[in-house]
Amino acid sequence: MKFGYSLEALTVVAIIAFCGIFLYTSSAHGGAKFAGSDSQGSGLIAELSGKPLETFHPLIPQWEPPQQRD
Amino acid sequence: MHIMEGFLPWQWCLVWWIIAVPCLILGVYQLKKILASDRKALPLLGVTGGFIFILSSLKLPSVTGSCSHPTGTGLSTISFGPGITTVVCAIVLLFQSLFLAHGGLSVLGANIISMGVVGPLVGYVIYRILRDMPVNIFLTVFLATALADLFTYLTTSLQLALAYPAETGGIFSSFILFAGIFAVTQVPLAIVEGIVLALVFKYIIALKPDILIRLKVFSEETINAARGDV
Repeated sequence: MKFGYSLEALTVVAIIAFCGIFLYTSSAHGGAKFAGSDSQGSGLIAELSGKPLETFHPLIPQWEPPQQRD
Repeated sequence: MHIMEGFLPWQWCLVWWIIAVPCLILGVYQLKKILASDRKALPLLGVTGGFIFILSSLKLPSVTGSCSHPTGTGLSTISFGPGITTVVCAIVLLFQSLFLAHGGLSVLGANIISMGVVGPLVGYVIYRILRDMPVNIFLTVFLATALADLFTYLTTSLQLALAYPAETGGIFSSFILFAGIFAVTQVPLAIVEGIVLALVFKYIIALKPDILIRLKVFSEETINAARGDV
């Protein structure tokens, strides 16, 4: 029992930190259509390619879960 | 991290598919080989697939507005190697693109390369180097997992930078921009993922150490030493 439950304690702290990041980032992006939407990344792609974001369409048609549809 | 459908030009989709297919063929060959020699590995293989699916579906809006998530590839990489992890990741990514609109079919090759090939390969190299050194087993698992996660995101950044180089500074400048977007949330996520997997290994070692010994993940002496620790 050299380490005891130190790894468990560390994991609890890590999971609380994960939840903290999730809650913070989710609230910071309240306008996002769904948790994890890619507004900044896709915005950067649009900027670098010189094409408006609206011109990006799936190359292969894709089913979307209802909460992700406009 | 998954590149979304429609966000890579078709030429780059094709390039990444061409690179991904031989990796998949090699992975399927290794998978058939291990299943022919050890059918008892199947449950653990199923668990690794579920682990990757659940963890990589936990999408987190990063503070800069992009999306980050754990990859979950560490368990499969350490237990079965990067080849088999490629196949498991390909199945997970296929399901996510079909049913969750996470990723996409045209960009599946690019996502397989980042999450299923480069990340696991880096994690495996770290694990193999540290396994034969006098390093704590849990530190080995932590580092292999965390670095596999980070290199997945660096690869995604490189893939996007290659497709969309900046006017000034080119690919490198673009790579820094994309990596910067991911880094803020991905570095803490990689650390969390490494810690969680170290705990998972602690319980595998405590409850079912024979699996790890049979798959030659760690030597019996190392496992016994770790059991003394835990």
